Amino acid sequence: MLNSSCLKLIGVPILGAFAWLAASAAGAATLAQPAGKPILAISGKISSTNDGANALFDRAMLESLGMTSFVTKTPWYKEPSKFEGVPLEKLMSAVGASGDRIVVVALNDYSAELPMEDAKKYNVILALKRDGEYMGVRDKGPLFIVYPFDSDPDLQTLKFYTRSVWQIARIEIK
Amino acid sequence: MALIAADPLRIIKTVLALTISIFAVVGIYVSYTIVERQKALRDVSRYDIVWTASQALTEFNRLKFDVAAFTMANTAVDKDEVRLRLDIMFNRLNILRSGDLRELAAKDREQKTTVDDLERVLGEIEPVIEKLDLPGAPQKILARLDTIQEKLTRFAAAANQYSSDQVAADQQRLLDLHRTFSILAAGLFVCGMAFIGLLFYQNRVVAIAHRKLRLATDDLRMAKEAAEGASDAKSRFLANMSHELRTPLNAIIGFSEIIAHEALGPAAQPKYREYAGDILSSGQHMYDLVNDILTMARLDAGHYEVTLEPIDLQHLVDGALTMFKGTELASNRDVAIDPDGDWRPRLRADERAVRQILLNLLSNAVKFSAADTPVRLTCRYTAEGELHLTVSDRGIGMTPEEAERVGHPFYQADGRLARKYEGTGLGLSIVKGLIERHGGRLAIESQPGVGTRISVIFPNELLEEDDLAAVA
Repeated sequence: MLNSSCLKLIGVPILGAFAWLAASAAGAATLAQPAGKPILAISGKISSTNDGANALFDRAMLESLGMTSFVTKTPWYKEPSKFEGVPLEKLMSAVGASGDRIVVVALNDYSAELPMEDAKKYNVILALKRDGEYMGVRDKGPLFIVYPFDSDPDLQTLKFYTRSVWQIARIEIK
Repeated sequence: MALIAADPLRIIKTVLALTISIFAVVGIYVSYTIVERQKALRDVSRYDIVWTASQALTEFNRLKFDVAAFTMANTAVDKDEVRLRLDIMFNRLNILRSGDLRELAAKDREQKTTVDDLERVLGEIEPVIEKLDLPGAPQKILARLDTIQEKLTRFAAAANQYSSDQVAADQQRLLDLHRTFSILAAGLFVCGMAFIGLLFYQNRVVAIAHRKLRLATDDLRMAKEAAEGASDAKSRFLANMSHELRTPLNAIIGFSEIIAHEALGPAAQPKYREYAGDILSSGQHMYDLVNDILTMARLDAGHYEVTLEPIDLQHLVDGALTMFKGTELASNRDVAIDPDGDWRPRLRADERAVRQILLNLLSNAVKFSAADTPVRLTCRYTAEGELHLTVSDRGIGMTPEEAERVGHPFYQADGRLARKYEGTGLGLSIVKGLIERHGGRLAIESQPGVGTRISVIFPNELLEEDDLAAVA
């Protein structure tokens, strides 16, 4: 408890500086308009937008940010799966996020909060594909926050399982 | 005493080993239980059945709502939205199929059919949603959904009940675990107390044994001191008596010598002279015996002092041999110094003691060998720088066992020989005592019927510098 709040205290200025750098790189610019159907809306403390105060992404825009993948066991599937998606850190810099909390909201309005530092610390991804296939709503798609659980035993706890939101519809930066 | 102590100690050891084994087994059991429990906690399904059931019901209602809204004018709900709701419904159905449902279904057959019915209904409305624009399609979907609504509500209630039962069972398991651990802890406490008690008891047993041992040691030491005191007293008595005996013997020898040699004039009868001669030889023999006893007694009591002075060994040996040849025992015997011997050494030793050693060895050699066999005296060095002074004969010899005992006082190898070879049986004991006083030792090589070689060995500390150099 004490430890995580310490991390937050340290994390705030670092992340603030990081967000400032990202914002100046993007030049507080507007994002490109999504060509396809938007699958993700980001709102809150962001500097790059394309729909009023929001940033909308379609699948192609997300993929163009650069994909990464890893294989991990999860509580939701019996076998280890290969998850492929955009690093959350890259997505946060793409929208010039300057908050310290990421609130992820699912299609059923379920929401969970991630500390901003998780994006940096754990190589969290916003997965689009599982085992090479795009995830549909009938699975856990279209977007699924996945931590590399196998890389760190600390991640194999309810705390991080709760942060792993699936069927993501939107993200708010606070 | 040791036997009495051994039994309780063995029992204690067994009980201690048993206690430790129980500790180990209990420890393994506790770890096993904890690991199992941990595994159970980790394996707990991510899909809580109550959550899943209520989610399914909520999404079901949203689907119904969206289909109904689709029919209204100016609605924001489009076909994509309805399709998304259907996909979410399918997702919930999949989740219902995994996880705890199997266990719930095993208890309640009706709930299994509910899930199957839901799947069937969703499958039926899926193609209809694609044609949602057609008149009557939404109403058809709503009618189909209505058929399952009540069952789904019952399902949610059953899931709720099932979950409560699960929680109650978990609580019971936890209580059972707590009771098990309490019993184990009490058992361990008892074992621990027994362990401590046994350790105390063992300590006491060991302490008692120790005290008994110390008392026994004290007894033994006192007995030893008493025995030594008695031995000392005996030696002192012998030394005194021997000394006292010599005084009258001197008179007997002196006067019988005067008579035998007719020093004061011829005896009236030749028989007197003959008798006086017998008295003289008997007296001298007795004198020798008394001297031997006196020497032995002194050696035994540790009162025999040796004076280590440089001596000319060859000269001493020559003198002793001459003296020996003059005795009746050595008359007509071939006794000589071995010409091959190494006679250089100058030794630091007690001259009187060395002479007695030589005389005793020579007289033993002569006594225990045939008259026509030679007796030889030789001297040599060893590589270790020791000096061996050896007398060898071709006499009756000894077995190794006899050779072993021959250094003990009053011993003659063969009791029957004592009559033939008269003597105190002290000769070799005295030699042994004297050479040991010099820091040396006695060595006997003998074979029955072949002969005997007896060596006195002087340690190299007693050799004069010159001679050591000569050896080197």
